[in-house]
Amino acid sequence: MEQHCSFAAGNVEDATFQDPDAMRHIRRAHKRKTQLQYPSPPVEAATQSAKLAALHARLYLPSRLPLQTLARTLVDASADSNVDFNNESLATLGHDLLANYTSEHLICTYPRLPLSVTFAAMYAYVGPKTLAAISKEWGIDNATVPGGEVDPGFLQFQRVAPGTAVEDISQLKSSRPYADQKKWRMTVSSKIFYDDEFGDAIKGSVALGQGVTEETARATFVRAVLGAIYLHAGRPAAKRFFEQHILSRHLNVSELFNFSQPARDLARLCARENFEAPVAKIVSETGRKSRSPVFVVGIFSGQDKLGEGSGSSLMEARERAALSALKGWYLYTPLNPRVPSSMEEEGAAPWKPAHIDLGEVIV
Amino acid sequence: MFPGGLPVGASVQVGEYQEHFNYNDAGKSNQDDFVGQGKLSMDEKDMSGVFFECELTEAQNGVGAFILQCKRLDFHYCNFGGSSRGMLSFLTTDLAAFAREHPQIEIRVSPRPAKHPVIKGHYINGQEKAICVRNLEPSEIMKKTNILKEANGEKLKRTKKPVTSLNESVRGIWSPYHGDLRGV
Amino acid sequence: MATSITMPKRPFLTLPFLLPSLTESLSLGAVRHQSSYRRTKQRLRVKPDASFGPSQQGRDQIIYNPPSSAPKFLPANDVRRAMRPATAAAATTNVSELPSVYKTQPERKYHLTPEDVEEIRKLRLNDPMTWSRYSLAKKFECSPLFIAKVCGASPEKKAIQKQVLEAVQSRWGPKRRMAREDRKLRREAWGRDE
Repeated sequence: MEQHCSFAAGNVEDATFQDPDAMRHIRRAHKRKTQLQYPSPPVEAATQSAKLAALHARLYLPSRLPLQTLARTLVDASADSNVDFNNESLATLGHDLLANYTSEHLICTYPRLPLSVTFAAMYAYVGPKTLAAISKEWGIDNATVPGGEVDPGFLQFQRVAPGTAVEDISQLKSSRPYADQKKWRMTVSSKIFYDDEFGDAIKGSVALGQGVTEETARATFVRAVLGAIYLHAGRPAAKRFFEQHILSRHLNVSELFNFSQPARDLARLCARENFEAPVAKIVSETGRKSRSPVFVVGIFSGQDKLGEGSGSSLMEARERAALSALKGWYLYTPLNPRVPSSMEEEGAAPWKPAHIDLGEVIV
Repeated sequence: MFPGGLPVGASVQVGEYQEHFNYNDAGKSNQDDFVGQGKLSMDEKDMSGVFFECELTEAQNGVGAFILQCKRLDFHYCNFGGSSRGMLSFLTTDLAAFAREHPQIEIRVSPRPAKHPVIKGHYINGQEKAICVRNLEPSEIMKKTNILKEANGEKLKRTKKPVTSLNESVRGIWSPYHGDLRGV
Repeated sequence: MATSITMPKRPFLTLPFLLPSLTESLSLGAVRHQSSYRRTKQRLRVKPDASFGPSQQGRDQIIYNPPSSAPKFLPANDVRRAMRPATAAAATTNVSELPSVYKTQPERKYHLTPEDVEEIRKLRLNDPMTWSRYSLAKKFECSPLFIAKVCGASPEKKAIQKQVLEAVQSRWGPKRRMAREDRKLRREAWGRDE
């Protein structure tokens, strides 16, 4: 298929060749030469790329988001350091939107979730690994080497040199006092203040010419797409895109828990909430004297059963029962939870405060 | 000490003497309290539910957004071979409408001289499927194109279960240790 | 159910003098319990639980499977607190009748004074070899756990104890070592509900 080449180049237009084939060849050669001097594809190449148009349609992006901006989201800062042509600014906006929407969803849906589990759930929803997987599921391919002549439908970034330790690439930018004291204990609550949305230390940007990993580049791209939608199509479109592509993914929050001493925690919880102290009772059992016994133990507070668990020893069944009771507490969900950003919709009902209680059990 | 329970972020000095009464108050109401049975480790004070593993969300294509798995279709034809006659007619008459209907598929048309015409589908999972369309009519080629469009790129396999789900069963798993005995 | 009888070659019904009574003969003649698909299915047709029944009195019945302890853990302003029917509370078995996990329950006395606690700390710090957690618990009539809550072992005692443990563990063979490691891993799996 013949591509229509439109570009402005003064001295080529002046040339008077009679042969159209030779003319076309010269124009192409010249275009390639002009493109080669740029680190990333020129803006006008975006409308020529079938790959980019297909991506736009595949993601059902709003028509107000032009192909040129979509092409820009695919250019990483390591490929083009010019902030007018790379996706850094869009990604910053998209990152904040993602963190905001995900955290408000988690906190309003599971108001009692322990902080460490909230961090883990945040990582599961919008962590770099997940975002990289999303970009793969969108059908994004990497450009082998970034450059001006590359099809703008490819993801363009400079790779890390082989043999570089990934931890050394980005410098630590934490504002935490004594951040370099690795052995000191960091409380989980302090991570809200000093660290990023996953509870990890904040990393600075990559030094120029260092290159980035594929995972980082892909995550940056997904964030930039959300930022671009927000800028061009507005808040509702960005929210919808977030719900359709991020929130619709499957996560079992109850698998994120890991308790060391659930029975002790449950006793503290009952004391805090003025419930009767929990009592472990055997609900049923079989094969006590055999090689494979099964005990079913329930944990009761007064006449109410808080949780139940089964195991091959009484200790195991009791621990599992306490754990199921704690999960029943922590995974409480209010009826029809609403997030603060739902107030931005038109005709939203008056805001009712979200459920807040004392927080997790501290022993 | 704390009438409404411990505030968030409060650290408890377990070694302090006053705390002893606080611990005992918790179990005073019931003799069956089992706090005293557990082994208290003194160094784990800050967190209750600690997370170690790295779980990620799983994609459920079609829940929320639907991404068409076919991302590219390559049409190869020969200008001279007789087996490409139907393909040439398909390319000139039907392909433009197909491309307009499916903007999410990148379409490439390229000659492959002295070979039979082929349609190749490229999929998001990295797989490729090819169908040879020699001597086929344009309507039959359209059917083959639709087959490639609707495929998800995975190898064909027999599905035995009508429903597969990531969610656990709402009815739970039958347990032999629960419920009353019933005459069967 | 299955009584072993030797079947004569001719069926019972043709030899009426062998039959003690008519009803018994019918039951003996139909000993094919699981031999047909229809009978197998028939036997599996168990009367359903009350909560899974079809519509009653012309309106749909809500299947009610109470989540464990939901009413207790719900906050006061949650409307689902009131959804618990009175029958559900009555149907549950009496908790005090259930056997306890532990055979004996420790008696709680609350008899120690601040001076006693100071004494415990002094003894454990000054002579850790004589006054271990268990000997202190025996002396002051409290649990070893309470001793652990009140004071920790001195660093020297911890070092000695570590050496003792290493000496014991050095005598373990591969089987015992692996068994201990497996036990530890299983115990960690409890906390992840695996």
